[in-house]
Amino acid sequence: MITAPVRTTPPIADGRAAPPALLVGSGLRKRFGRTEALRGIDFELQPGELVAVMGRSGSGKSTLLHCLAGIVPPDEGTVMFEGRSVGDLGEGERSRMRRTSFGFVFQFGQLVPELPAIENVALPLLLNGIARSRALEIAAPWFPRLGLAGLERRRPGEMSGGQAQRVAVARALVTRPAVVFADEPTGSLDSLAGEQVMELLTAAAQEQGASIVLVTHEARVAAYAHREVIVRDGRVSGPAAE
Amino acid sequence: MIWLGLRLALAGGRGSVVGIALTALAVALGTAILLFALSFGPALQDRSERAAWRAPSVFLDMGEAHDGVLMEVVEDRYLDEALLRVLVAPLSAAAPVPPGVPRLPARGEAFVSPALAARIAAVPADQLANRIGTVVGTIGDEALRSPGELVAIIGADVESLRADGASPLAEFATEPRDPTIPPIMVLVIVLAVAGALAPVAVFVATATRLSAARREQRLAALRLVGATPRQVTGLAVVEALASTVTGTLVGVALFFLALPLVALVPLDEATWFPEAIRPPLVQAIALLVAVPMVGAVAAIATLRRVVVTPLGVQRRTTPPPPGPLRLVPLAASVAILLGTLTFARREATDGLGLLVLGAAFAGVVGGIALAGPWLTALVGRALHRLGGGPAALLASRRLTDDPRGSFGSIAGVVMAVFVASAFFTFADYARGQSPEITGSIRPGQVVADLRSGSGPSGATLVERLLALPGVRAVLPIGAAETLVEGMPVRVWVVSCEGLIQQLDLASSTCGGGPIHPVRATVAPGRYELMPERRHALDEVTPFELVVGQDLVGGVTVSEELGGTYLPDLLIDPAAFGGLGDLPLSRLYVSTDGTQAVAERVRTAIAAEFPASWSRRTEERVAAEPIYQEFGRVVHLGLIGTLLLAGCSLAVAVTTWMLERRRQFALLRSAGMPASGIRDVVMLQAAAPLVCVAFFSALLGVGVSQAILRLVDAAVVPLPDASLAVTLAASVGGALAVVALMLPAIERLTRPDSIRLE
Repeated sequence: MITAPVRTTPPIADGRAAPPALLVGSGLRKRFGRTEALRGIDFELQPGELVAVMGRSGSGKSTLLHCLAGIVPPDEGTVMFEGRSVGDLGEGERSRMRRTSFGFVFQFGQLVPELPAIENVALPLLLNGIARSRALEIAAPWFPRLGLAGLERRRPGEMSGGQAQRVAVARALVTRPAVVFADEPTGSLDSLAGEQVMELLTAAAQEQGASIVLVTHEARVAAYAHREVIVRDGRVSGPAAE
Repeated sequence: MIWLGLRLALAGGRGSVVGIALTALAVALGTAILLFALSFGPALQDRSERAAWRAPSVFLDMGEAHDGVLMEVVEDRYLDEALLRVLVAPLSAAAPVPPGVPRLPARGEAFVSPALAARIAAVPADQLANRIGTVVGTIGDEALRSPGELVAIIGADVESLRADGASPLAEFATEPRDPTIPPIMVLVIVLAVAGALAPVAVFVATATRLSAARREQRLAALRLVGATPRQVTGLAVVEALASTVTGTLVGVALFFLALPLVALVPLDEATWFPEAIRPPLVQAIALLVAVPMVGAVAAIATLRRVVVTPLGVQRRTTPPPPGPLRLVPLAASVAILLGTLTFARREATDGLGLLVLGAAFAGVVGGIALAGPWLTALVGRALHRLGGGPAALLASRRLTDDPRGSFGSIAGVVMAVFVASAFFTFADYARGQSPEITGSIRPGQVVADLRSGSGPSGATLVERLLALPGVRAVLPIGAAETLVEGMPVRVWVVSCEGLIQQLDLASSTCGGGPIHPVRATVAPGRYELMPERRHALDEVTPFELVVGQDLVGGVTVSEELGGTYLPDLLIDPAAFGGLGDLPLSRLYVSTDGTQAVAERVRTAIAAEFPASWSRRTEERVAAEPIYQEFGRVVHLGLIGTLLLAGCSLAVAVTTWMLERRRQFALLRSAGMPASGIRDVVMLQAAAPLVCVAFFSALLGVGVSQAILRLVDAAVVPLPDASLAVTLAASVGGALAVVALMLPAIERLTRPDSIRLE
């Protein structure tokens, strides 16, 4: 069971004018064959904010996340990150943006099975051109921090699901990203492991000032968020209930 | 990036290492085959250059050959090997010396090749050495076509050589004459290389697929983390180069390791000097660069799907089913192949023509690879309609949903079946080109063509031969020519009864009278009988022959003889005393059938008539040994091709089962028995294999028949039952390979092996 988390205060809550949104999706539409996954969604994410995107299976919440992260281009609408249109970026620039400004934690499949945990964490740094020894140096402190001390040389297949997800969290945060996209990060874990992962993810993200877009269908997981967005049939159907 | 690429390639555990090793092995085989293919031309040229001295194209007139040398090349045999006796006689002290020897041998002396020296040392002199003379040295490799060639340069005197019609030379040739390999065989060799590479390519592709799923998974994961398409491509290229560069280097090593063995494969009755099998440097370097590059390009092409989206693995869409358009490249390649042979037949065997034909043949093979998935989908639909039960349902769905993957598993065997069908036809054609020249001679005989105007009288030689132990009878023949009504008629002066006895002609009989027309009709009258001229310069004295009405008998010759060896007219010498002096032309010597006696007979004849040649019945010498050798090479190649295809299939089935173990385990956990899973695996392999292989075999026979008919305009017999047996054995062997993999299903698909993460 995931216990109800203590909500932290959203970054801007003192009545001052809100700073410009970090990530904005406007009028997002996406179709896969005959299926209309997104039917004109608007979305905003403030710096340091944790937003839970909820909805039933097939509602379009993962597609929204993929569009916001620049993984899948929307058929219509725009995604602006830090004032720049993601759609105007080339594939190479979008990849660079994902590598330097975004982090990802998915349900499964995001770790490279061939690499030991520490190299998985160092991977974004290596792709950024940082020397291997330096990249491993930066990655190493994340292991004790996330309760993974001693597991640095283990491969994903040699770890439990919770441990593998914590490695994914470390990898998502190692580049100090502005936004972490988490798609059902606890979906394959038992409640205790899920709770650990969520606490580590939110704490570490908050410590670094990173925003989080969290896709989930579990209310308890969504409870970690500052606000919730309900997606139904490709549309935002409910306000973000505080 | 290079470090990361290598790390990813090698860190994947046993599966990755096996995948890389198998890919490297397949690339190595391909590289080695291509290196040998590149070496073929230079090796042939080297052989021709080494043998150029004994095949001069320019001879002198006797009048101007003051400082030259007389040379007569006699193609003899020892046991079952060709033995070349080169008779030489200097016309002056300044006569040229052939390569490989320090001087010309004096009369009675001989320089011999190392292989001949070994044989001379191994047997009594009356079986071999006496037809060579006194050995005074060995011939260097530079004058030998092959290391095992039996050659003797024998010193003779000018008079006897001149009488034998030897030709004078001013110098020994250094430039080789045109290669003696028939153009059709060169064409077939080019096609063989193209065909042999197909199963290698399939093996490369299959081995690459062994770890493809995991590679796609990790590269998609990298894309998700933010690796750019270029970085992912770079990683894939590094990974591909790890196996292809290794494979190329191993291929070079394999080339040198296999060199001594390949050098032992005879072509045109000669093996090869290993050092002569060398590819041209520039082409070899180009090949060694090209192979890894092709591997890298292939890696980029296969990664396209992952590069497009980081969710490539998670959100894989089913590609559209293959359509009949896939038959177009196959049809186009067949059209180019047959069109080139029809409209540019003359150019078809020159360099460019061979290149076009080789490429078109490779195109046919590639066309089968492209059309295969469509055919596989057809088979799947048919299986769905005809089959009942869950196994047939699952197998047919799988075939129609992923015909590319399903065909990929059996592609190696299908290619091998095509290549086998085509080359069986070529081999049958080759056998048809090499009739056995002693087919109608009784066993245990030595047939000698004396080819000489010199030597002892016939009676002396016959006596000497009859004195040899093991010799049972000798039939001497004098050959002559006469004119009957203005037309030349060939005559043998020989006992008709004796000849019928010597030849294996149980159903033939001689009629009465001493003159026996075989093909010609002879009217009573006076004829001038000219002893057979061996050479244009021979001086011959005509014999007079008076034919009376009562002298003309008859002869009934059975059809099996075909008239090949008999002349137009047989004349019994007993009836014409004067004809006994006619120079001996041919001898039929009956022996006890042992090789030693036959070699004694040959040696005795050659010692007296150095320019003569003789053949044993048992040698069953092919008129064109190159075709038989080609047949052997084809069969060797087919064994290799089928072995390679078997390896591909084993790897493919293993990959397929590993990729689907989870689905199968889930099916088993839902209650499907392991035997049902086995049936699915077997049906999915067997149904397309049998059908597509049948199509492939028909295509192979059809294409090869068309090539031979167009190039040679010959009636080419359809392959006999041996092809069907071989193909059935190949397909059966392939299914046995699948069956061997089936026991692993029990272990791989245990329900408790399901892993959710």
